[in-house]
Amino acid sequence: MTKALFYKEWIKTRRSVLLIVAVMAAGAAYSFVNTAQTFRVHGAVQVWNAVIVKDAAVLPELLRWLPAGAGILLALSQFVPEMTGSRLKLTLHLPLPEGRIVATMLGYGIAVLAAVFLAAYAAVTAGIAIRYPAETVRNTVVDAAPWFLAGLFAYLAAAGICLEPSWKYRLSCTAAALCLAPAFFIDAPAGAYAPCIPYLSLLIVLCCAFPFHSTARFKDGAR
Amino acid sequence: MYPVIRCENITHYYGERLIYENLRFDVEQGSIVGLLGKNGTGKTTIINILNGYLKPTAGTCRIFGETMDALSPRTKARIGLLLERHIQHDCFNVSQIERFYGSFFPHWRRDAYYELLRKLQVTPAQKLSTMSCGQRSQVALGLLFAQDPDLFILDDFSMGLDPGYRRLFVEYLREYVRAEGKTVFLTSHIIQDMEMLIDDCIVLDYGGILLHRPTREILDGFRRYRFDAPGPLPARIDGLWNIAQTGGRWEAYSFLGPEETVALLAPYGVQKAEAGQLTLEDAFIGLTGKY
Repeated sequence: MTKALFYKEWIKTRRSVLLIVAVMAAGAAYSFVNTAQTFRVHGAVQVWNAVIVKDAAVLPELLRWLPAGAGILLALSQFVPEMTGSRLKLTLHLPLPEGRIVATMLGYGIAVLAAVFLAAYAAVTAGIAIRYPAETVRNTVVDAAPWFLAGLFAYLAAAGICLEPSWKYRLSCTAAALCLAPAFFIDAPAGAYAPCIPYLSLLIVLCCAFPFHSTARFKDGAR
Repeated sequence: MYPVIRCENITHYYGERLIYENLRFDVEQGSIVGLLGKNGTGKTTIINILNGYLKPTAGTCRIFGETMDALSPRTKARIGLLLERHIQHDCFNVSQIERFYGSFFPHWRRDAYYELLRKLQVTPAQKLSTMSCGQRSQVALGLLFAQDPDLFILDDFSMGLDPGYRRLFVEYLREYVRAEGKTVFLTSHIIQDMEMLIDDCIVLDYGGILLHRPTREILDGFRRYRFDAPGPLPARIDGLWNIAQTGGRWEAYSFLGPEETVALLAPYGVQKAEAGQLTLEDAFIGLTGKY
């Protein structure tokens, strides 16, 4: 039955998933091209100097927003069809515990995003490791981690907002999510973000409850 | 034996607006019960309450003895639910949706699904989102029969069906539930086919149940009377429904016989009333009024 639910989520989201994979791959490719171009134009010494002494960014700014965009896109393609015409009633009517149905749907989304993000993260890390010293690579990996966590946060927040049946609450939840989101995108010196990562991870764990809460409100017929 | 559906003292408000007060009814095993009512009387609301998709202001519904907000997966597997407008997961195509639902139900009847769809001019690869409303509704109904549930809950099943398929479906459903001892609880706003199908009729009015009687009793006993009266008649007389003047003659509906009806109208100068047999649709209009 879990396999069947995964099948439905795949049928609903396959175009979005392929788009996300393509965009993340393009983002990783862009970061390689951008790094190579920077080294060609400015020379390795200048670039290393800028990165190590002046704390210049190693990865292009664009990469910071891609995971969040991917999370929102996947959540919309999974949960907007469920809320259109109240199809969620059909899904929750399946002979499985309702919590398990919602957990499976969220599990699918998180698994897809985690797989794509890990692949992109690994590719980008491998790409910069060719040109930068280990310490710079380590700092870059730490600095990029919140962007990928932002992708999971955006996914869970968008899922909860979609599943929320009342527009008034949807708007309130969107405002709350927009207030929390900047925590994932703070500009800080290289490596300075490391102590925050456990707290950001905890925030994501807490956010997992949000879609379940919205589903419970849907079940109660909140308007 | 405990009824398949039991609604006890359901009261519900949307904001300030009362939908029902102390609504109560039972649906017995093996019966086909139709919930009829005008738009806005709360037909879909009761379906939502029954399936646990709306918490009523007060009261409880039970299906197979389980309360509506705590239906177990086993009980859900015994309920075939058709949502209003035949909503289905339209991301699937015809064969994908059959495979999807088939994984959940132990007594899945694949051949029943394809048998009902045989008359459709669609291919197994056609997506539901590209189908007409009528074709989609036939897919939704085919899935219900394949599920082989003990209880069918059908919210406005006739919407979007052409007359031929509606009649075919009504006949198929009637034979199927009779042969298999299934229970059906349905709502519909197209009443003309209902008299062939439903055993019991619940007529909803704004605020509650107007009438709950066997369909045969309504068809045999409820009559329209046409008569002439020398002066105006009161809007309400006990035993008569919807007293109104139409085209110079008066009209009223009643479960009473002709003599008793004339006796009720005699104080207003009525000496004779012509009784007419009614279809279920006429009876529904007689009970609820034209507007």
